[in-house]
Amino acid sequence: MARIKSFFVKRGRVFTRSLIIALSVVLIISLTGLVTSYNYPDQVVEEIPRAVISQRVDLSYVVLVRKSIIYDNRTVLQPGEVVYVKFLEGFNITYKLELSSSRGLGRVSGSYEVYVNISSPIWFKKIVVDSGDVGGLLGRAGSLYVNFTYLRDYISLVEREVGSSRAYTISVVFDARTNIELTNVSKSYAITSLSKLDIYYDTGKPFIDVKTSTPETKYVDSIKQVKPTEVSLILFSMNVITYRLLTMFSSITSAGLLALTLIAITQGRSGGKPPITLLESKYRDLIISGELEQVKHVVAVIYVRDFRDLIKVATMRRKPIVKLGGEKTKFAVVDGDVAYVYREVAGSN
Amino acid sequence: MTTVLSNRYFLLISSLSLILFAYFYALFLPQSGLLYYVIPSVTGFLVLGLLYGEVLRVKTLFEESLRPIVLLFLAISVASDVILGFVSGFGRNPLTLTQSLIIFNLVREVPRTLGMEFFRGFVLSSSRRVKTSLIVTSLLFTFLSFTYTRYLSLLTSSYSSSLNFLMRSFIPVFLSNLLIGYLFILGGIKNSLMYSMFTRLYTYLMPVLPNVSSGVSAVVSVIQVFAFLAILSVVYFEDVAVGRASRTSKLMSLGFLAVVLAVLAFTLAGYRALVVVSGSMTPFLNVGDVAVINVRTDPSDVRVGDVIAFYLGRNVVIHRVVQVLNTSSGAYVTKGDANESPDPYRVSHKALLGRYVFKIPLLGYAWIYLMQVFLNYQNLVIAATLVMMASSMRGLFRWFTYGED
Repeated sequence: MARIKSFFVKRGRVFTRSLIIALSVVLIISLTGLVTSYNYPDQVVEEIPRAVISQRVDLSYVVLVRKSIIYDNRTVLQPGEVVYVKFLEGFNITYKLELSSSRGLGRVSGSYEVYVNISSPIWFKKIVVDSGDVGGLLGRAGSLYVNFTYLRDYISLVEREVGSSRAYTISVVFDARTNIELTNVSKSYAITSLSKLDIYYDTGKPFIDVKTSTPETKYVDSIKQVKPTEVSLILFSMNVITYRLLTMFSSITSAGLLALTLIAITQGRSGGKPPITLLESKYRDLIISGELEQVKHVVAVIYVRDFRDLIKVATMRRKPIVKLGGEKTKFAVVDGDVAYVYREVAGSN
Repeated sequence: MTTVLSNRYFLLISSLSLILFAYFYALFLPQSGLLYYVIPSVTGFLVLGLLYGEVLRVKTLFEESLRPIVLLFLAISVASDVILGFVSGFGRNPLTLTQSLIIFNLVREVPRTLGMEFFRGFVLSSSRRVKTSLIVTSLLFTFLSFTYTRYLSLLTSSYSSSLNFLMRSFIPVFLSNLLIGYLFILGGIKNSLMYSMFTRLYTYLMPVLPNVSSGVSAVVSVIQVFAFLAILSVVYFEDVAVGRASRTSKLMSLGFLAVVLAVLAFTLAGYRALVVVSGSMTPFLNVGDVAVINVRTDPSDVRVGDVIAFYLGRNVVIHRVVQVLNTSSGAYVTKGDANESPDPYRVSHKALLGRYVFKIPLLGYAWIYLMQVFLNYQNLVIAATLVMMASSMRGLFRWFTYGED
């Protein structure tokens, strides 16, 4: 402790004050950092994509019609043109399976089915028109002709049995169910796509509506990874657990050093005060001041070596300590015919 | 800065604020995590830094001579734990299950104890009313030993749990604080800190501790403090404390001693006294009678018509033997005199406590009423020790209240 004291004495007040301020700032910053670090979670769960697979059955169609003035004697209509039922003969549909992956594709297997759903408010019918292995569809386009005249006749036959409706929806559905294996991934993925061409046929209207729906099915295979929360400081970043330990260490160390500095200051202050004064101060209630006169009944004078012995006598005998002035301070306790005296000498306590 | 640091009111207020902050911080900061270790540690260091110079310059009368006595106290504490451990078995201390837990607890407790002890020393050395300061600081430190949620839970607790908290937790900690404060007054910060720090570190470092209930532990703790204060009284202030003890306190001490010796002699002679709490043996044994049982009864000597005491679960029943069976299912059929039919169970030799010898009428009423208040004998012993201590230690307090208004 003496070395620490002399360390501070040598460097002066400015240094000590600066050190106290610096340590206080470090302590406050560390504590604030520690407290605020609990606003963040210890770790976060991140989803890292391992493979992204997408599949789509792409559809395109043209409408085949009879020659007419309204169509300028054309027999093929493009999507978006008004289709009059009166001239409609059928639809020529082209379809293709599109498959893509973020990683290299391995073996592809599975099946596809093309079917026509005819639905009215009172009846429903599914007619499978084609099926096969999806491998056959990959990379090449297939085509399908939907004969509308035939469908109308079919509807008429059914309605003779179940009763007639006015509006119908005819959906040509392309359903692909694919199993995909990727290179360097030891698992297979099952993915399903459904594209369709909807024909809205109302016997009360002269034209029909046609809509296509070719949604892309996307499958993301991801791995959940627990990542510690990162905290960025000025020059470097660290995870929040390390940050908390660091701020804990910093808080306790700065508090300890601050305590040490304060101890050195207060030690320096009290060091110069002679112990007798401290004892006097501590036991001021026992001490009274007075002047010495010859007391006849005192038959023995005991000189105690330690002031604390005098305090002991005073407390045990319940007598006051008399502080006597003069060249050298004396303290005395008079107990009946015995006087206990302590003489202050240089270097004594 | 030196001027500020020498202002005793500044030191008192700032230290007290830091200590209270360390206690109440969970009200406005997250309680979990490292803050539990950092806040008490940091505040402890700061209080130490503020008060070190003030406390260390306080000279006391018995600084040197008290050290071996404090060491003796610590040795007695350890020895009593070892004896308790051999009697009731040792259990793993949950505070020492992992190395990191030990380190973190030491990081928290060492600076905290330093800060608290220097604060205690500062208050005791600054105040002119030493006795009042001692009691106030002991109460404050005891209050801070338990979380405020514990006190809040008392508001909705039953009488028994509140009493158990008071007797088994609050009072032992209060007396321990009283002793530490007293050690400071006699021997200064070095002695009080040595005792306090050792007991702290002992709790956080001992891998095994005696496997005793909180009640037994509290009784041992309270009796230890009583014994330590008595030792201090005899060693330092025999003239003041013992010689001037009041006649009442002397009589109380003698009476207590007589009761303890009588119970001890009675037990060693093979007898046990049981208080009758039900009327099943009326009129032979009435509620409030004390039945004396010879626990050295040979089971084969028990005859029909004998009144025996036996264990039924954790309770002891005193009934009359109406049939001796000596079969594997049970040895005796018993019946209460006031009951119409025999007991529905058979009493085995193993369950037999002993045979009734004689009774002391009505004496047990005192015990019944005491049990209604104190619930169990451990709480009663703690309360009795507290009363004894308050009475016999008046002389001890009188010594250092010399000079007070």
